Amino acid sequence: MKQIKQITLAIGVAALLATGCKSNNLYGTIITITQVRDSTMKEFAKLDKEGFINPELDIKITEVDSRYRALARATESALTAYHNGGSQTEYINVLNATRAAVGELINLLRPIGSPVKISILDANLKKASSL
Amino acid sequence: MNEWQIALISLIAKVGLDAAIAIANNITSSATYDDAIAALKKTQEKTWQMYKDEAKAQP
Repeated sequence: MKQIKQITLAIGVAALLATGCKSNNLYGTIITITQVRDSTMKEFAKLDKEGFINPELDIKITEVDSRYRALARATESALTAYHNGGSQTEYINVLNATRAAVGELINLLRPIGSPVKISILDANLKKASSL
Repeated sequence: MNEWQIALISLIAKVGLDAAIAIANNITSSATYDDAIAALKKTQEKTWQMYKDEAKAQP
């Protein structure tokens, strides 16, 4: 009987730890995504200052980044709902859409940005996908 | 050495140690709900125009 109690307790602790780790990873993922977007936008801004952003690209950046910010708002709502016991699936879905928008920004940067910096952005976004 | 480690070393070389550590620290699993919400609020506030203005203001 004592052994059964110990096993039950061990399973409970393991489940609690697993849930905690998963939640932290979900929080870390969104922070990483926002940082990759920030670095990407700073790179765009630097190139704009140097005259490398044409009006057509400027419009595309505005469009994709506006969509990203709208998705960030949706992610905030979904994360709050998830934190309060709501759907994890909904949070993950909107998180994936936000991550995809950052991927689009990196793709816009690809033809004009430094290959080294783009590889760092790609690696960071990939890391966010695996957290 | 995996792809992430190579990228981090490249990052240190390019942006400096402090910035690279700041990024690496936030990638750890120690992030909380409050950290995530703060990052989401901050990212929504900053527009493409603000990034451009910030870059132009720098010497």
